[in-house]
Amino acid sequence: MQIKGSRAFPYPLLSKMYEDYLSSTFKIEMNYLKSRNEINLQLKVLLENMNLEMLIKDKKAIILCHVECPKTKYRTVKELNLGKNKISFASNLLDGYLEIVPVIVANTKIDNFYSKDFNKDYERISFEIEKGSILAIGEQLKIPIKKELGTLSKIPSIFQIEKNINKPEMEVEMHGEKLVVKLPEEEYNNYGLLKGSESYNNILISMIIFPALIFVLSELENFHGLEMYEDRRWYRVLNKKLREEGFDLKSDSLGLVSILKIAQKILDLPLFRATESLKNLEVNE
Amino acid sequence: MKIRFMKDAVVDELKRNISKNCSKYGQSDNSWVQNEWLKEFKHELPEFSLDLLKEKPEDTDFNNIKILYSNLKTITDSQACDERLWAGLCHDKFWNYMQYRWSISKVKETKEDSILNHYFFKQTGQRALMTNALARLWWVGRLTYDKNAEDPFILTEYLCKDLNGRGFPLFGSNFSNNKEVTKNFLYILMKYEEKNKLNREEFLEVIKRMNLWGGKIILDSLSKEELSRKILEFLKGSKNLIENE
Repeated sequence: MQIKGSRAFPYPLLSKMYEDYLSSTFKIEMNYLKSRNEINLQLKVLLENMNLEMLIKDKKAIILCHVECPKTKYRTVKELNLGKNKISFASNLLDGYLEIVPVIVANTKIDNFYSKDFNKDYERISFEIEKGSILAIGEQLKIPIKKELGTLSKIPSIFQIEKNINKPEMEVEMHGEKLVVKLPEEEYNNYGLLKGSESYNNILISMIIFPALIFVLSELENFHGLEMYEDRRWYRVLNKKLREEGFDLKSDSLGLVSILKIAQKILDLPLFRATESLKNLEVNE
Repeated sequence: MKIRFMKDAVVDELKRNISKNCSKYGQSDNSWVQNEWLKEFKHELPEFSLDLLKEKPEDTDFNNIKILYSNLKTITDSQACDERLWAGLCHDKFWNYMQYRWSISKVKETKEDSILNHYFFKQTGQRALMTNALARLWWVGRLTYDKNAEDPFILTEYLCKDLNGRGFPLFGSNFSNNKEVTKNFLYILMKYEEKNKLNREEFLEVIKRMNLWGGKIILDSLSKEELSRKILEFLKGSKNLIENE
């Protein structure tokens, strides 16, 4: 829900979009922080209108944050207090964008709704207000939610896990269409048992894919042997992803930035995901 | 059970070439769909199949909503808005269901439109969730499932008596995005219908009135009792009006 100034209300409404009040204000200072699993919203509610403040104090009016994600059909309201507030939303309920509309609404039927600060057009007129009616609208916000394309797949698709027969170390092969990570036999068998769980999978990405990617990026940087890989699928995917993040395999810029940092960007915070999964596993036990 | 979603580039490619591939969508098997177009979905799901047994395929909608939603309840809302997931299932695991329920030989719209609507997302936004053959089953389940009810699908069953006439206009309304409001709305009308008649036109009038109210009040802030009072007053008023005419 987004409210436009063209919407007419049958009583005075406090908002920057209307001139129904002379000097009163309803301001919201908003900040948001997006993590992998959550969107955290910090809101500071500032109200300057005696009448509305009294109504809130008497529970005849409430401050609500109306939240809607049209794409995923998510809509709810959260109650706010005057001053600082924190609310959060699970990312897996959202996609596209999240619309935030802070409002003050009547929490009961209000007879004789009146403010000394009403515009002169409403001088000495009071109103009967129905429960749920919007009395004030604060700054509205639209937060873009970008879902990564890979969220449906199990592991980054350019990697393939295979058994490293009779060898006790992990190795990475770069000559095929996919990057092949070879695990010693026992480790490979354990991987097979664990990969079905999303939580374990996040941990396995940190343990196996993350160091393998660092190895591949180091190889590309050290030997500049880019031509021999250019037609490989993994190279094209990796190059595209790097470009999205602002790096170019063909220029020398890769060496200027920490490979460790790039690998974390490509895998979208692997350590965060792994530690979050470990924390959740601990809680569930 | 493992399910597979369709790769992004393949979705684009197939949508671009609908007219070229049109006849393939009338085939009883999907052998033309290549394995490399699909990718394994990360979650393991229970083994299940959809109901293809009724003479009129549309009569299976309620049962299939129950089957599909119960088995895919673990996917997130965000994943359930992803065209790749539903396009993959339509072309792969549930190809037989697609032939049974949305056979292109029986469609009123053009074959191309039918394929785009039912196998893919033709439109952007919420409408696509109600036109894709499998997404609609999941989303009607999602929006009507009441985990606290003795029969969690009681509202689904009520709405499925007229899914096209009542369900789709309901889910096209903004207030239906709030699942609590939607459930309250359906419970109120279901209860009303136990003692009164409520035809499709009247049901749609209540939806219109809800949208009108939503312009001035925050419907999400009303309790079930308060919403019930408003709707029943409106129904009483509109019935009196009809009788007086």
